[in-house]
Amino acid sequence: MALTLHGTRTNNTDVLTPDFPGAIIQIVQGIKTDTFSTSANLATKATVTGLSASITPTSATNKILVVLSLMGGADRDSTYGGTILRDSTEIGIADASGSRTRNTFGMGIVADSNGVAQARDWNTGNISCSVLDSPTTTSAITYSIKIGGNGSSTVTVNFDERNTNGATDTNIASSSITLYEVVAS
Amino acid sequence: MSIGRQILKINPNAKFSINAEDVNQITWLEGTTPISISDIEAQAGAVELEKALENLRVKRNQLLSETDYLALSDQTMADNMKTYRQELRDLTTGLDTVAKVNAVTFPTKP
Repeated sequence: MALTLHGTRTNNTDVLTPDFPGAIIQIVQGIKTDTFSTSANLATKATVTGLSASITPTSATNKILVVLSLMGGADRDSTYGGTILRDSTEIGIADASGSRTRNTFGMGIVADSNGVAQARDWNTGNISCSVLDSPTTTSAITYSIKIGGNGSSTVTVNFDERNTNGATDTNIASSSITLYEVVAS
Repeated sequence: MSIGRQILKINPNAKFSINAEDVNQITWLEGTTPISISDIEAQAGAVELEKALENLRVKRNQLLSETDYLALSDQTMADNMKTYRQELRDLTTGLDTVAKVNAVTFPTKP
């Protein structure tokens, strides 16, 4: 049986770059291993320092699969949301709906129970989010993350806000953004 | 550390972001007037005490909830249980340092 390889041979070498739809031809990851926090609200949001990744698509028709994995927390009851940005453009955001803030991802953090402190500031959650983006460019692009909360709480990345050194149940983690260049056609 | 809380104790309306929990990596947002590092750091003790008390209350509240059913109207609570629950409620009285909080001994459940 004949075996057909779909790809592009570059520079007359034996390296074959797949060119069939769905092939992943480039992967880049940005990982944040330190912490971040902000009191910005959902409407204004703050850029998460160090949680970004850059990629240069090999073809303007290719797509970029953006996969975000983020540990978030808050020091009080709070909404928690944010956007993924391609350079300065928000991607994968919700449809417009009144004056609601449009985000790419979100969650709610309940730190109290009926107004009584139960777990409070060590509430965290993991956000897993993916967007298949069509940047239509072969120039370098950078994907980054903005987050915000309810404006009266501090929302965090990679730690529970209690963050007590020496406590066996204080939780720290890492967050990442991974970019896959996918052949579209 | 909890720099965010320390800032919010000084200015509850402050808008900021902090990278790596580093006082030298604070970005002030939305026109918030910057607060000096020394003023922020001066709040560290108060915030640590606040957190220690919160942790204590969480454990105390859990212990209280374990015996809440004994306070239902169709139950008769024994005196030693009343004493135990009152000791739990009084546990935070006079705790004004982290060392005192850490030295707290919980009463023994009857």
